[in-house]
This record gives sequence, structure tokens and C-alpha cells, in this order.
Amino acid sequence: MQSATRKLLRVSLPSLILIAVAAVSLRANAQDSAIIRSGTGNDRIRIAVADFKPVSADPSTAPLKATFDSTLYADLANAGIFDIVSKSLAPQATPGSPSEISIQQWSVAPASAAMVAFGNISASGGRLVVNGFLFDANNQQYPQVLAKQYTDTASDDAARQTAHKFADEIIFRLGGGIAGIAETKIYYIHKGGGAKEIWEMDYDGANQHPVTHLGAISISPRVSPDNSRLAFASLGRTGFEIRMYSLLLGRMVAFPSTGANSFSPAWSPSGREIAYASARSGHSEIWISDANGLLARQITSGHRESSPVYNPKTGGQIAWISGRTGLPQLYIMDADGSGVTRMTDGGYASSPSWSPNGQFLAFAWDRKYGPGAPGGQDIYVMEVASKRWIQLTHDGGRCDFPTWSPDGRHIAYANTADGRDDHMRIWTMLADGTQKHPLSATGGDMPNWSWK
Amino acid sequence: MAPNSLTRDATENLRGNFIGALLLHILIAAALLGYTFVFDHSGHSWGDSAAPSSTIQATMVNAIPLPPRQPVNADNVLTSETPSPAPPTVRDKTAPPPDPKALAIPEKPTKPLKAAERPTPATAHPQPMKPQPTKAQTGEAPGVRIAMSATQTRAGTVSIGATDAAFGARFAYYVAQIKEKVANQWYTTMLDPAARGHRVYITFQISRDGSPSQIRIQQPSGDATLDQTALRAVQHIDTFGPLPDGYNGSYVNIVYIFEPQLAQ
Repeated sequence: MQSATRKLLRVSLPSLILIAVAAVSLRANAQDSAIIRSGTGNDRIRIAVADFKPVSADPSTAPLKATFDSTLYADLANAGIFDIVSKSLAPQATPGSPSEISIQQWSVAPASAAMVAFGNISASGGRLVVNGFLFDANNQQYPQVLAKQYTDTASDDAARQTAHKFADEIIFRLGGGIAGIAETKIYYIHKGGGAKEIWEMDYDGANQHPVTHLGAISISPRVSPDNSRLAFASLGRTGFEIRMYSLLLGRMVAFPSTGANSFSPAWSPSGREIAYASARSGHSEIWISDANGLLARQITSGHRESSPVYNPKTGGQIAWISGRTGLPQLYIMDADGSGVTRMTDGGYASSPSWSPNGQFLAFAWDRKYGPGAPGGQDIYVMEVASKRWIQLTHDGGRCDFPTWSPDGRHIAYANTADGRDDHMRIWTMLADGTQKHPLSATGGDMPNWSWK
Repeated sequence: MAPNSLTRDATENLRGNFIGALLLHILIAAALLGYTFVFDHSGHSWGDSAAPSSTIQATMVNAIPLPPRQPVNADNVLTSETPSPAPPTVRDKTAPPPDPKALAIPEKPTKPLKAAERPTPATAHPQPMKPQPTKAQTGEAPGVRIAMSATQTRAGTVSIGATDAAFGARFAYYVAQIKEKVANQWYTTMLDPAARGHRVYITFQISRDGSPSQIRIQQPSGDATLDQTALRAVQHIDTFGPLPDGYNGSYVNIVYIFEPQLAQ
């Protein structure tokens, strides 16, 4: 019994269950807890990445190769589906083509890789050419899984994008047909100089640069499903207004003013409708309009409604935050306003984000809200069908604004370790709460992951 | 000197006052404790919401497309938390110097081998070129068939066999991925305990774009819960990812065997 209890604890801790809650469920129903998944059987794919072989004598190859190698390694290590072979365990060889690789060298200990990614890179005359291969190290007879050639201009940014493309191809092939996210972007609020502007960065935190130059306070950026437009709320003369920025034109485009506080826009997955919270009827309610701000209609009547978000899988449901019973709680309803269901049973919930497969809601939640209450605001994930939830952040300071990556394997969020607003920065983690690491410096807030 | 409020007579007796003060304090303390004891009530503190005591069990992490964590394996040196000590290093012994009195062993003279002269081969008469096939060669050849590959999952064994003979050998990584994906979707909490030891065969097709279709029970196990959970596991899946590039067929037939573990 003793060892069984210990085993249960060891199994349940990685499964991200509150220790206290695990103890309660252990005492209440030992059989149920034993069903909590154990790690046996399914393993992560162990993948090795060889340094790419430089095949041109051009001096510009070396820095591009360094960028490419480190980006490819980081992409695969962050993918969440691989157990990556540390470079110190991998063979010293840098095979440049299928004829140069000795597969056994990689499949035996200490590398013990199941898959090997390798290839060659060359830069000459301002052109970057990369040949990438993926080999199955356990299949001596037919090792080749993937062979790709990429050409681009010879620049540091192009080398990084090429590595992202190759990583995405590998993740797509080995991850069960779910596209990788190495080419996705994160839009976020950058605070500085008294204004809050919208910035953009790659999913790994590289290439941070401003998008808008309004000199105003802008919040809650939301990129459209086709990556063509950015909806956000900006502080104007009549309070917060929904504004629209075209990423294709590189300038603001018209969006009609409502004459009252409007904020937290959300795109429907079709890109044809926008839901937002607006006080044009006197109270803050959820409204839906088309993508140009026309044909607006009110779909709630609870007086304290905000933060709508569509179900990205179906587009037929909306999750939002309502204060109709007191403290703000998480609710879901059909997109026409019917079928209202309350999801959280207490505390203070905010900023929902619906997972791409439609099964989960991520949101910020302060479960014991009030002066002197234990705990703080953390990121939680709830299964919509069963209302069961798990806590993903613990004791790391206030966390807010979770946003799902398009593959459903990652969540980005804003965190401030000491609780001060000006120390907010953007972090990312796997959707089970592991592998947390910061993406932006302080001053980053309200991340929004692009749809593709 | 007349006594005033600042000077005290040394002989003044304060014992009665002292005991009185002590009794008063004890009384106050007792009253406080008694009050809390009598009027104590437990209730929800402000902002509390009668925390749920039963809802928490999180098997649902399954559906996030992440593989589970690997367990620590004591037998595996790389994952063990207590690594075994390194073996002592053995030094090579230096070879002793040759004895100066020793005589060298004479070598036998060997005769050179005689090789028969070979006639030079006649140059072949030029033949007309055979017409090349118009279809591109993809390097495919019938491979050794791996009939089944079995995996232990948290609930039992799943085996898979691609009925296209060469497919399993040629694209082992793709078959492994199918196995992984289905095993992750198999919700064994619904299984009847009596299902252990039974075995159900599910067949389906994977089309070019990776979507499964024609999901059928080929051979029922005799246990309804096992049949249903196995069928649902496959039905849950939208896509397995497109078929490998080197594969020419438009679909692959898969036989998937679900077999719950015998009693643990």
C-alpha cells in the first residue's frame, strides 16, 4: 500500500494535479486515481540534429550556418513531441548528404536517435541554398523520410526562416499531421514612452518589431484568421474604440466608431464576423458585427459582459467573461446567444482563450479572490465537455492573457513575477505547463498567437 | 518627605492589587476563549465559493497533442537518478624488451604463385537500347514485411498491421505514428473489467490526405465496452498526417488490434 501510494503520487505529479487535490482524491477514491495516466508505452520520438555541412567556401556561409543550426535545434526542442539528442551526445560527424551518413552511428548509444535531421548549407552570390534530410535511424533499408531543398536570399533572417520551414516540415511529418508553429507570429502590446503599441515577434521571441505607431494606448490585439488584419482596442476621445489595422496595406483601415466604450475584439474562425464587448446600449454587453463593423447586434443582456472568444473549431460557440452574478466568471454560449452555461464555480476568472481543437478553454483564474486569500492569479485549462480543469502555473507571480498556439501544444501568456504591471513580460510553455521560458523583455503584455 | 504620586512608601503592600489584576486578566482571557468556543461557526470566507471537493481528476490532458512524460527508468543509465559508478580504468602494460640472446626465427622462402594467362574478353557487339519506362523510378522495391508491431500502452497492448505488405517496412515511422495517435485516444476508463484478455480487430483506410475512413470492427471481441472504446478511439481522429511522399497508392489499409492488459 505504501509503495502504491508513492507510485500514485509520482504518477499524478507530472500529470499536473494540485498536490492537495491529489491527496484528497487519493483518500476519497483510490481506484479512480490509479487510472490517471502513467507514462508507460508511448514515448517521445528521439531525434538528433546534425550540424549542417557548409558546402561553399564563401565566408558568409559560416554565420548563416550558425543561425540555421541553432534555430533548427531550438525549434525541434520546443516542439513538445520530441526528445532531442543533446549535441554533446551526438556523433561529431556532419553528414551533408544521404551518401555521407552512417545511420548506425546515430542509432547506437549514446545518441540512440530514432530520427536524424541533417543536410548541407551553402551561400554564394547572395543566394542561400539549404538541402535538408530526415532519416529514420531504425530503418536500415529505407531510411529516408524527408528530403527538402530551400533557396532564399543570403541573410540572417532568411536562414532563420528556412530553419523554421524545415522544422515545421519535420514536425508535420512526425507529429500526426498537425502543422508545426515555427513560422507563426505572436502579436502583443509593448509598453514604452507613455504609449502602448502593438508589436510582432516570431514564435520563439526573435525578430521583435513594432506594427503600429499611433502614440496611443492600445490593448488586446487580435489577428484575423488569414493574417491580413489586426483588430484591437485603442483609447480615443470617447473611451476605448475598436480599431483595425491592415497587415497587408501596412496602415489603419476604417472601422466605425460606436460612440461608447468598446473593447476586446475576437475574430470568428471564418474571418467574417467580429465579437466584442461594447457599452453602446448603456451597459457592457457582447455584440457581433461583420468584419467591417457593420450589422452589429447585441447577443447578451447581463450588463457586465466582456472578453468574448469564438470556438475556433466550429465557430458556433462563444466563451466570455460575465459578472452577472457578482465576481467575473467564465461562461459559454452558442453564437446566437442561446444555451448559456457557466463554467467556473467561483473566484475571479478573466481572459479566456479557446484551444484550436475546440476541446479546452485556457483562462486566467484567481480561485480564492479577496483580501488575504491564498494563491493568486494563474493560468488554468478546462475541458469544455466535462468542466474538469488543471492548473498550469504555480507561484510564479500574477499570470494573465493565455493564448493557444495553432497546433494546440503551446500556450503563451503574460506574467509579472513581482506583481508590478510594468514588469509584465510574455512567456511560453507547453500546454501541460512544462518548458516555461520567457519570450520578451519586460514591457510585453497581452499576447495573441496567429492562427497559422 | 511627604509621600506624593512619584514617591512610594517602601512598606506599602501591593499584594492584594497584584492578585486582583492577575485575576482580572485571567477572567478576560477566559471570556475571550469562551466566546470563540461558544459562538464559533465555520463558513465561507469572503470571495470563497465552497470549493469543489470532488471534481479533480485530469485524465483529459490526453487530448492535448503532447506525448506523456517519460518515466524514470532505473535500469537505463541515461534516465536513472542514481547513476552506476564508473568502472576502474585499466592501464595498458608496457611490453617487456626483447631478450638480447634470443635467435630470430628464420622465415621460410615462399614461391611466387603462378597465374594462368587469361584471354582478354571480346568487346560486346553493340545492342539497340531498350525503351526506358516512361514512369519515374521512385526507388521502391518489395521489402521484408513486418507483420505486426505491438506496443504496451497504459491499458494494454495495441498491435497494428498495415495490410499492404511492404508498407510497414518501408514507412515504419508512419506506422509508429498511427499507433501512437490511436493509443493516445483510447479511453480505457470506460472499459468493463471483464474486457481484459479479449481482443478486438478494427480495420480502417487512411487516404492520401491522412484522414481515416471506413472504420469497421473486423472481428468483435465479445465485450461490448472494448469494441466501443476501440471504435471511438479511431473515430476521434481527424487526420494521421498525409501518407509518405514515397508511397504511390491512394490509401493504406490498417488493421488495429486492441487488447487490454491482463490484471496488473
